[in-house]
Order: sequence, then C-alpha cells, then structure tokens
Amino acid sequence: MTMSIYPRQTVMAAMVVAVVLLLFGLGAIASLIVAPSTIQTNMTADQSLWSALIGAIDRSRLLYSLKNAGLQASLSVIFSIVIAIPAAIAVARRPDWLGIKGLVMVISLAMVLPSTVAAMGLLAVWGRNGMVASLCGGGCGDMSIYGLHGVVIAHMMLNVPLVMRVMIPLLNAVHQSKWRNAALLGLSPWERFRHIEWPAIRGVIPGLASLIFMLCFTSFALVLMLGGGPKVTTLEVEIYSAVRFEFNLLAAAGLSLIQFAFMALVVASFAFWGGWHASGDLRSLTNPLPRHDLGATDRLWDMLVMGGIILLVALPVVMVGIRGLNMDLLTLLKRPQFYDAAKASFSVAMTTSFLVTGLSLIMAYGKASLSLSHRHRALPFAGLMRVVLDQGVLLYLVIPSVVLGTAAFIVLRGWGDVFGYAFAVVVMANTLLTLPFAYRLLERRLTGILAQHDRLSLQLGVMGWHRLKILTLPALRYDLGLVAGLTAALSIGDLGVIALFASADFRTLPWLLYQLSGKYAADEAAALAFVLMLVTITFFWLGRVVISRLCGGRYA
Amino acid sequence: MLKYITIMAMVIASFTQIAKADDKPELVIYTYDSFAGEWGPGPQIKAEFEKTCNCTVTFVGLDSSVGILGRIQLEGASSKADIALGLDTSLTSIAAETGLFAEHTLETRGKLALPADVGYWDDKHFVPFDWGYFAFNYDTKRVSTPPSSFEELIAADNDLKIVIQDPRTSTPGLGLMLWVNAVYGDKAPEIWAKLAPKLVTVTKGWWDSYSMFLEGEADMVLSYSTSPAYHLIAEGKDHYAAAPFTDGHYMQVEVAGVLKSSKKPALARLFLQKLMEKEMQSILPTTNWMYPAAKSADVPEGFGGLIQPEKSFLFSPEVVATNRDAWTKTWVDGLSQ
Repeated sequence: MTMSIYPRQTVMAAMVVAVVLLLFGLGAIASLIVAPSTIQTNMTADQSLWSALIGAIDRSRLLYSLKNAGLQASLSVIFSIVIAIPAAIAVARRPDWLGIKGLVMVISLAMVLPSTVAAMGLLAVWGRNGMVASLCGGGCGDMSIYGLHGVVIAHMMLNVPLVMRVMIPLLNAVHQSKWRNAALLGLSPWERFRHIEWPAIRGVIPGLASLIFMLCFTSFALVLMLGGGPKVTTLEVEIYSAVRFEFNLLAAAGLSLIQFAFMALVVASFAFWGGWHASGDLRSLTNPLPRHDLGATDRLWDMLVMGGIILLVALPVVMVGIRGLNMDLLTLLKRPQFYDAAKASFSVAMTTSFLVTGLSLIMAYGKASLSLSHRHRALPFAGLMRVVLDQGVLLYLVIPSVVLGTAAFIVLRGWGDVFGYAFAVVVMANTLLTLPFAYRLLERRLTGILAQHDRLSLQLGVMGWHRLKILTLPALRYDLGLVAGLTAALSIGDLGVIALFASADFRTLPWLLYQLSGKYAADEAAALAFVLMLVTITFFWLGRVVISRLCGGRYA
Repeated sequence: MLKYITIMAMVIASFTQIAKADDKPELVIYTYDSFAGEWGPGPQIKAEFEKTCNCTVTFVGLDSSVGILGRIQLEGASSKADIALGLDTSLTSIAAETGLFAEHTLETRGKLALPADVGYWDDKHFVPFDWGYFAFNYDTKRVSTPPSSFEELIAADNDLKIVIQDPRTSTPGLGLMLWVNAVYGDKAPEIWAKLAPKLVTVTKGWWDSYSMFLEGEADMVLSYSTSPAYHLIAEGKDHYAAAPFTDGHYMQVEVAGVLKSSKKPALARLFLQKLMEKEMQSILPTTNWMYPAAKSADVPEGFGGLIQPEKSFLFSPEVVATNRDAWTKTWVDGLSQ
C-alpha cells in the first residue's frame, strides 16, 4: 500500500545520500593510509599506523590538544547559543523596527566571510589599536582579546548569526493566539519564554550545538591568530603540519581518525541528549506580524540585546567594509585576474548551490518521513536512522580539508590530468562542507510542512513528483532559497582544498585574496575582502532568487 | 524548470573551459604562488627566458614552498614539472631524499653572493637563486629604541608586543625556531618561555601576522630584513625598519632544482643557468623582495639602507631534518608555559 511504500523510498534515498557522503569522507582518510608506493612519503617502510601516530605527536600533547580544543569548542557552543536565543527572540518580534532587515543581512555576512578576514574585522573593533581601545583612550586597562576568550568571541561572531537564522523562522511560526493569551494571562517575560519561546526553539538546539562544536573544534587559522600562542590549539594544526611539512600521510590519517572518533563520540552524546526524539508539533511559516503584547521592559531589553549583537557581529563586519573602501579598490577592479577569479568562484558557487540544495532536500525529506508518527511507525529503526541523518551529516565537517585535498589528489592522479579536476574537487569539498548547514536549515521546516499537509494529501492521492511540485516545493521555496543562497555564499571557494590543485586556469576569489596578501598588498587585499563581501551578498541573492523561481511561485 | 537548468549548465560549462597551448616545447615550473603571480617575478622571468629559448614557460603557482615539495612527492615520477623553484634549505634534505631530483651540474663556485658564513655551496641538486635574513620588523614611528639582540628583546618591557608564526605551518615561523636554536642551542627552551609574555599571538601564516603588525596590533613582527625595502620602493614609506640583532641573523636561501623525470633536462638546465645570470637575477629584488644570489646582479638603491648583519646562520639541511621534531616540541612547550 502506498502509505508505507512512499516513505520507505524517501527514507532510503536520504540514507543512501548520507552514507555515500560519509564514505566519501572516510575514504579520503583511508586513501592516505593505503597511498600507492609511488608516492614519496616521509615514512619508513615498516611503519604502522600507530607508530606513525606516536612519532608525529606525543601522547600527552595529543591529550592536551583534544582537551584544549574540547574546552574551547564547548565554551563557543554555550556562549553562541546563550547569546543567540535572546537575539533571535528580539529580531523575530520586531519585524517593524527600522533597519532590522539590514541588521539581519549584515550579521548573515559574518557566517560566510573567510575566517581570517572576519578576525581582522574583530580586531578592528576589539584589538589593541581597535575602536573600543581608542574610544576609552587607554582607560580600559590592559584589555586584550588574545587568548581562549578571544577565540570564543570570534567563534561567537561566526556562529551566533547561524543560530539566529535557524531560530527566527521557528519563532515566527508560533501561532499569534499564543502571544495574545500570554498577554491576557499577564505572563512575565520569563514565563513567556518558558512556556512559548523555549518550546518553539529547544528542538533545534542539540543539532545546532553539535554543528557549532564541530566547526569550532576543527577551526584552525583563527584559533592560532587569536589564541595568543600554542597553548590554545586544535588537533587540526598537527594534521596540517603532518601533511604539509612532514608529508607523513600515515600520521595525518591517524590523527584524522582520532579526531573523527572523538567527534563521533561528541555527536553521539548530543544525539542522546536531544536528537533521538521525533520533533514535536510544527507549523509552517506565517509572515511575521507586529506584536501587541510587548511592554516597555521588553522594548528596553530588545534594544540592549540588539546593541550587543551590533557590537559583537555587525560592527566587525562593517569594519571589514570600511577598511576595504580604499583607493586600491579601483586598482583591483581593473585587474583581469579579478574577473577570472570571480567567474571561477561563480561557477563553483552555483554548482555547489544546486547540488547541496538537492541533496539536503532529499535528506530532509527522509528525516521528515521518519519524524511523522503516522509514517515512521511502518519503518524499523526509525529512531536510529533519524540520528544518522541528523548527526551523521555533521561528520563531513570533521575531515580536515588538507586531508580531503591530498586524498582527492592521490585518487585522481591515476585518472589523467589532475588540474582538470580542480573544479570538481572544489565542488565536492564545498558540498561536504555546506551540506550540514543546509540540512540544519531545512529539516525542521520540511517536517513542519509535511506535518501540515501529509495526511490530507495521502488521502487525496496527491503524491510523488506531482506533490513535490505543486505542494512541497512551493511551501518550502523561501527556505530552499535561503539554503541555496547561503550555500552559494559559503562556497565561493575553499582555500584548503584548492591548495594542491591550483593552476593558472582555475583561481577562485579567496585564492586571489591569498595571492594579494602574499605580496604585501595590504590595501588591495582589504579591498578584495570588501568586494568578496559584496560578491557574497550577490551570490546569496542570486541563489535565493533562482531556487525560489524553480520551486514555483514568486520569491517574496 | 528544465530551461533554467540548461541555462545554468551552459553558463557553468563556458567558464570551465581550459585553454590549449601551442606546439612549442613547454617548460613547466612549480613554484609558490606569489612568485608565479602577476605581482611576482614570474611574468618577467618567463618573458626573459622565452626571448631566446624558443619554448613556452609555464609557472604553476602552489600555495607555499612546502606545497611545491608536497605536490612533487604526490606526483612522483609522473610529475609534469621540469623544475621546482622556491624550496628553501630547510626542505632540501627531504627533497633530495625523495630521489626525484637530478643533479644540476652547474658550477656555482665563485659566482654566488651569499654571506661568507654560509661557506661554499656544495648542494648537488639545488642552486640558490635568492636569499634573505629573518628579522624582527618594526615601525619607527611607534618604536624608537628597538632591541638589538634576543637578550634585549627578552629584557624589554612586556608592553613591547611581538607577533610570530607557527613553525608547524609557516616557513618564517620555522626560520625563527631555527634562529633561536642557532643562537642558544640547548638554552632555546628558556628563551621561548621568556618570550611568551611578549607574544601577541602566533599565526598560521606570514601574512596573518604581518597584516596584524601593519594594523598596529603588534609592535614587532617576524619577517624578512628586506621587508622595509618593499615599503620604501613600492609605497614610498620610509618608517618601517628591521632590527639588527648582534647575535646574528638566520638566513633563508631559496633554491631551484631539475626533476629527474623531466623530458627536457637540457632546457631545464639552461633555465637554471639563465636564472643565475644578471638579467634574471636583477628582476628578483623588487619583485620577490629578497637579495639576488649571484654576484653578477644589480641590487637596487632601496636595498642599500637595509641592515647588514655581521653574522649569519644557516643550518645544513641534514641538521634541520634531524632536529626539527625535537625543536618543535620545545617550542610548543616553552611557549605554552
């Protein structure tokens, strides 16, 4: 009977995608271990995986790295979420405030800026020579942003916007009557939070927490830049060093496996905490309406929260823009290389965007089918499969890009001209990198939409492609647009993977940034960072418009 | 919907086409990106060699000097490269051990302009093409009396903030590590511990720290003694300087070598020979911002005011290869205290 066959198909498709991608990542590590003997690695013939590992890094150092990165990532998760909750609530309930759309736009940019560029923006505000220091003119004492706290602040800047983006639609989806009732009952802001806002958002927290944990645990250039010394570290530094300086692929593979195992453990515990259960009742998005239940205290609170977000996220992003508006902007725009790089980035971004939007839709559809009680009852292991989809997707982030790039090189070198694959490799890496974000943004909404119309459409016999086309995609077009835009913006070009594949024929914008900065061209690099931001906005917009159009209906 | 997909596919396809080369012999040179790039020596060197060689020079710019070696190790005997250009002496021992490099057969004796401390060049596989000293750079507007030795640097007030690079990820970072070990030997761990309070931070690459220095986040940055020449010649700014250390300075010597697997070994050796001659050597100072390695080269005026260390250090590639792991550990431990 169709009612049980149909979800089986969507679940199967989702599981296949999830598992294939996971094998891709693990295969990358494996290919370093079984690298062909023609590759001149710096390891002795009788070296085992374990001895290579011990040789590459002593055990106390390994434990220290894991502990230190674990602490840093935990703090980053806690603070990012704790700050983002009031911020999301404030933004969601003030759709009529002046400039709120602009604010959301600006903070979204923080998510997609190259991390070291974002860090320079942060330093322009909080650094020794930054805005805050010059405002208090030496009166602030020995305030330093370098250290564990600096890394956590930078990670907050990058992740608070993500959490907000996921939570805002959920808050907007809360039925108007609930707010009215809260006002009638005279609930205090805290009670309102406990009874209305918290239940609306808590379901996404475990998933977001593990995503952020993973991003921060494997963060690297930024950790070094703001960490203040090797005391603050991640395992990623050692992996990078093993591949690049020592060319000890076995050690790199071993360290990657340890990192992978550690992350799997973390993911499992997050899953145990919250992800195991099917999500509760969800409504689809209604356009945010102005609220009339808010008092003066709420107003003050919201202003305070938004002030904090401006200081933490928006101001650093704006500083990147200001630094970039210099005379060298014109020099940059006259360079033909700039347009070549922009074209390369454009094709990478659009291809990745299409691919990721499609794959995340398949996976989210599977998850939704597993979450609806009238569907998953027919399926064995629904809970387990939910976890695989929900948390397994994050493990793609754990494969260090230097490992991914090297592995791709090893595998592809038997297949002709490696340079020719640069495009495909970058797209693949970006797909692994952005799929977790895309899936996170999509799965909750799709579950909500299915919850609303699934039973009815099954009864009416509207299903398959037909249903996808006339019901699901139009209902989801706003979210798919967001996913496509964000993916396009995120995948303008990953530098970690392209490093080995670089050739004159294929250069992306971040590569150009790297090239400029290698030549002391500080102003032009700043200008490019600014242009990168503009391009990001354009791609973001383009991805949204194109996908929304494809989904039928107009992008609103 | 199909229409959109078709259009997108066509747009994407049109961007990913790869240009075809003509039928002259092609000399493929792997180098780091800032050498190959439009702002580096690459284009001028290419033009100079193509004047006479009846060939096409193709520079492949990789992300760093370590990246060049990594790429060659990955490709092994099937590498497309004829020449690897831009390795430095901390890597040449590993590079030679791969057995992928041929001997250069050039006579370098008497032709090189390396500091006397280096002794004579006896590397069979690699020829040096430029070099520089590592040095702490500062802004004379902000620092009036820079330290003149590691001892003074350590003794200076902790308000003096420096930024350096990680030896596990960056060549200058590795250079500082070797420098301190050259000066202090077994006492290096103490030096790291004493340096720690002055560190703003340690960055992944040279540019991260250099841009932090330019933005005023640090008073001194580990860079090259030739960096001020860039600001003077290219930007007309004369307020950047390198601090001369009486201890002496560690050097970086950049080298090039021919690959065994090259199908045009004669052409490749001709390139190395030309690389050592006046025309090409004179391109390097103002594009790569390093000293030319051959005596024959012209050094531009802006280089005249640069510091002239009395003593210089350069470990043999073997010493670097043997000790790097242990020294890195003491670096990490010393700075983590």
